[in-house]
Amino acid sequence: MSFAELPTTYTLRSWTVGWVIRLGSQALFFVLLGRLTGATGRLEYMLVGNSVAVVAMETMFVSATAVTERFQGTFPLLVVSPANMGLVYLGRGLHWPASGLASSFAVLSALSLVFSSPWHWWQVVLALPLLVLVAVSTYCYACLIAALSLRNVKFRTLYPETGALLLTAFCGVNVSTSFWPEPLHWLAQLLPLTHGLEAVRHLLNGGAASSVLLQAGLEIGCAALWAGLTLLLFERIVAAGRRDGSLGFS
Amino acid sequence: MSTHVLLAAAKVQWHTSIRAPEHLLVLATAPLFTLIFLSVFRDTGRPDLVANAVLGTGLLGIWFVAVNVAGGVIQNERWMSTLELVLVAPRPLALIMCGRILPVMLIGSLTLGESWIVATLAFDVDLPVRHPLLALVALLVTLAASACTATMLAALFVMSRNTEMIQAALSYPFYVLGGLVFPLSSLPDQVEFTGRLFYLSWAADLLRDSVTRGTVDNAWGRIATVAGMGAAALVIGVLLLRKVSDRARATGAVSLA
Repeated sequence: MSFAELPTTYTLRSWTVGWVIRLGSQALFFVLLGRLTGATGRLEYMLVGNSVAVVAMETMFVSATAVTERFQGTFPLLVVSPANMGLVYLGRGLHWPASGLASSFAVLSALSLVFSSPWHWWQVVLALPLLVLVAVSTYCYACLIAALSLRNVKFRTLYPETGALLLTAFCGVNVSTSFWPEPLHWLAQLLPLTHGLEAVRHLLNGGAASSVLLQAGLEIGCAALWAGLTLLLFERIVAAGRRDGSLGFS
Repeated sequence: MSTHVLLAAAKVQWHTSIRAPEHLLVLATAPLFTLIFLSVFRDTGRPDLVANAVLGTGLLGIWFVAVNVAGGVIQNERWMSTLELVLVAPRPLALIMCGRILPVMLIGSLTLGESWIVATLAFDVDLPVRHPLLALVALLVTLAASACTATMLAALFVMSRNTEMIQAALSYPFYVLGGLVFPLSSLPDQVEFTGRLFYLSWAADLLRDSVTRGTVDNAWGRIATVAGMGAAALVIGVLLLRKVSDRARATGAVSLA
């Protein structure tokens, strides 16, 4: 169902001409900001960070998908179906991490070419499995935000927008997580994107395979954590909705 | 009578916006943008770029509401099926639109204050304004020009079938073209030339200069440029609104066009 929805969201033309250019210009904006500072390596740092963060931006659209079920009146029908709601929703928007992965890869490849980045094209291709990992982990986080949006439909644009910006601010996209005060630094270790992005950086900078694998492993841990939290939250929201009859009205 | 209509329209929009989290979204995101910009400048040892971060966030907020909230005013009327009522009212649509857009611009301008507070509290930044009067005039003219541009966009959006795609396209590409955080002079010549056709690039440079520079060259000429570009957008907007309104009345496809 999720992937059947994808062609109704984008045509190949609207995705390339409209969406990827929009996301590319977002990454470009931050890359130019990095160039303005004149600091050595900052441009490349922000190029990688913001290109990978594109996937997080796109997975946030699962909130809109979730809320659409509410507006179409199909949310209560999903709730009464004999399946776990969290699992249903984790599957419901799977086309978003898929298209986010394609967008992120396209932006990373294009900007690497435009700014003559020091890494090779095959390193960007090798980064694909890591981008898949980031897509999965940020999608689990996005599903939790979708659950919150379902509970408070009024905030359906506020939650995903701030959720995505929190990742951009604190997960090492533009500055290292160690820049922030200790509590924020530690919080960032539990957020998706942080370790996956670090793994991509290690790979592109020719770091040791062990450090790439370690960061990838930590990203898998984060994905599991956010998937678990999402399942729990959906269970609570559905239980609360059943109890107070607010499933179609919250 | 016109003032009465203007104020009534402004009151309607104010009450609508303060109850709509999506209209106030920019107030939640602006502090995060300030944090991101300032973290980059602090981390790279560029305290001279603090004004770029603070003013850039404010301008970003103003442009965001101009495109996403003010620009969508007519579209929202259409979705709520109240556009017919607005069109049959015996007052010009443009006058009502201006009244609707003004309070929205006020929301956008609040992001500038927010950004200043975040910079002060989170980064202990001291950003004195070298030319307060000039900065105030520049800000007011920028807000007015943004309101005029939003009027034009609102009319364009009604004529378009894919408003959301256009709104998305008007965000980051225009943050770059407007030189909101980095000066246009730091970009290639072709981009700089294109950006100079956009009122925000003049406004951004002028605001930054009024805050950081000892002497501001040709200040009033630059203010006149921003005002002139805003006025041109308003004229186009009013003409488009008249066309949209006449077409909707003639075809009867107000909510369906």
